[in-house]
Amino acid sequence: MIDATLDAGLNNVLQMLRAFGQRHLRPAGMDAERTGEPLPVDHPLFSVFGRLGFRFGMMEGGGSKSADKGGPKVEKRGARMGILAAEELAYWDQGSCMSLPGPGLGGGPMALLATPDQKKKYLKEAFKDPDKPAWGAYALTEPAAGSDVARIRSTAKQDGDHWIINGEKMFITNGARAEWVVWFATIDPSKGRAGHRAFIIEKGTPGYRPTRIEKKMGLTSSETAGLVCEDVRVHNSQMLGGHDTKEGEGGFKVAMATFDLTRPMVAGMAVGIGRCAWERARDLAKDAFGKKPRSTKEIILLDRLAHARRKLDAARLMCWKAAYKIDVGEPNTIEASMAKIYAPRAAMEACSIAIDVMGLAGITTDALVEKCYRDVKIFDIFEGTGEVQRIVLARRMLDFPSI
Amino acid sequence: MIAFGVTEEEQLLEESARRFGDDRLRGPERDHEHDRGYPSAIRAEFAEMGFGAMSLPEAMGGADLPLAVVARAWEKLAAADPSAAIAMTIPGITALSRSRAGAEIAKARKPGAIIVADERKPGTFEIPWVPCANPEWIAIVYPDGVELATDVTATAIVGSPCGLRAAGASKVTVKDTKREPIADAAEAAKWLVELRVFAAACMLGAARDAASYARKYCMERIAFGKPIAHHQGLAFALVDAATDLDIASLALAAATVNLDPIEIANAHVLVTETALQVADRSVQALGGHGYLFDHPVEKRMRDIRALASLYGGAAASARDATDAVLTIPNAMEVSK
Repeated sequence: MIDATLDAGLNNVLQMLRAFGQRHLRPAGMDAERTGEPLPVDHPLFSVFGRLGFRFGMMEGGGSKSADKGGPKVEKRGARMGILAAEELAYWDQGSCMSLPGPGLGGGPMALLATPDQKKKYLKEAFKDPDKPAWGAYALTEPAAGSDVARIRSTAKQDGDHWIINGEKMFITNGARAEWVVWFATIDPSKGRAGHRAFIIEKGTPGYRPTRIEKKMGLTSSETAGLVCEDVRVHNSQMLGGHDTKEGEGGFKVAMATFDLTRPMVAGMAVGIGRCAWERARDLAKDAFGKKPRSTKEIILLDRLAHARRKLDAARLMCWKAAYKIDVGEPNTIEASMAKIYAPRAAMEACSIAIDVMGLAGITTDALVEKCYRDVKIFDIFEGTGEVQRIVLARRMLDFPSI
Repeated sequence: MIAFGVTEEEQLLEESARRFGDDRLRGPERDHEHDRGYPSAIRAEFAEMGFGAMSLPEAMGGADLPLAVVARAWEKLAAADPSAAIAMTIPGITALSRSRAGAEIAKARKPGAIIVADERKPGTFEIPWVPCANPEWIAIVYPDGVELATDVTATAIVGSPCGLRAAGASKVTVKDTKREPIADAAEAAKWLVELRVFAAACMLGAARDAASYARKYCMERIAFGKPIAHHQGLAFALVDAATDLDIASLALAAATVNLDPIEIANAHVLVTETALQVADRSVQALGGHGYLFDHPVEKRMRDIRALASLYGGAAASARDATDAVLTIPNAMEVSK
């Protein structure tokens, strides 16, 4: 039987995040809406966040710790905690949440593949000073290779004990401010996916620089950058997983494995944004037409609200299931893709219905719901579009051929 | 703590329902539909397996299983033949058995049917269709209580009702005599919960079966040089069906654990909308073949349509959800 209850531990985490979101994330998000720019690196949100001492794993859905060998068996719960955190923080402001200091999406491949030395340097030391916000980033997408990750054109050529990297990336969250970025490149274009490797490139490395900060429809508070590498030299030790990383381990496979962890979280974030819009509209409806008798139009709007709520609640269950399977060590690719297909659309519909409920006021920024509507659209696109998720499922369920 | 495991008890019951469905119901499904009923041997086996009394208290010969577990068995039985459970048990039997008069009916397994009505019907009235042959009683669930009518006249429906034909099909006249209240408003809400879960579980099973059949067919049927499942338009439709079904299934499963009437109403709506859509798409996937009696998908589509009309249908559930939408608690409410 399904258990959809939260125990005391999860309940406490949720309360803590709720307080943080209400006090800090939402106001920061609205700051960005006013300026039309990503939050600056010295925004007070970041130092507050550093002082709170949140674990980074919590934000990415990691954080599960296996028991030491021989010790008592500890139930892994990091993914479930992560999915709750993802939804809750997105409820308050996903753009600001994505701009929070930490390894960001780069944390996934780091956790999966980095050597102990790399983990020490790039996951621990880089973020040890709570008063000095720092970011990591994940650079996979290129101008000519989005969904078709296998087509990346960034190259890495060996030169003694170094690699020379050339290429361009786009849609990189926190890319311009990141201390380091996990950069996917091919060491041999003739090998296709098997030739992919990931490198850690540090900020300030000659030849490596941001090209632009994108202007976007939503998630205004989050920085989305273009990056370029022009004859960037990195040492062997900066190949993710170390120089002996074998074919198939260091690139495409890592990129794909990361998705099984992040897609449920991204779907959960969409649910959070949908929930925010839904509650805002419900509160207005309660005040405006909560008393009977209601007009036919009001009844229709309430019916749409009920429709939105049931789809959001159902979407959440699939996100939770995908996270639960991570915690119990079962494959979750199907659930992750299903959640990623369903949740963003359910959330988008909820946001749109919320605007309808609020009437013309729903179009104004202060009403918040229009911001939710703009913010949530990207969730059907990034981390693999809805169409890519369907291809993932078709391969698993229908033996759909690889293209 | 959030968990999605399946207990051994659930697995065993599901497996025995699946096996009974595949071994005894699926093959002769068309014969039972044509005959408008099931042979006594199958009825006896069904009863012997305990499928008719899974949620009844042990004192009444049941297994006292929770609705969340029973629903999974209904789903498996309906996957093989959507009429079977409705024909060989009394949907709502647990609620029925909680009243004195209803308990006698439940104990004797007298044939009858439960309908849901918004307003009390004075005098004699007619019910155009119930999926039951020769009903001896009708229970009417109103918002403020349940009434049991035992002075009923049934006539078999001539022609072919849309679906659930193997359960029988009657037009019923309910006389204004021998009608007694057997449950109050609070109890009526529990009747609705059990009936909606039953209908939703059956629709889910039937829709899953249709989708599974369509998937296999599309992987074998070749058009334009490759299996039709490998044409993206159809591939996406098939995986969307699987996604929608899995999500509706989670909604129903979570609601049957909590047994909150509004959550159940919402799950009933979601499952109904999903099952109707998936059934239609499954017939579509087979093209002209899907329209023929040669394949089960057309029957699943008809049966789901009939199931979707029972107990007030999704419209009544949606109305209940809409009526409550301003007062239900927020999702992710934290306890302080």
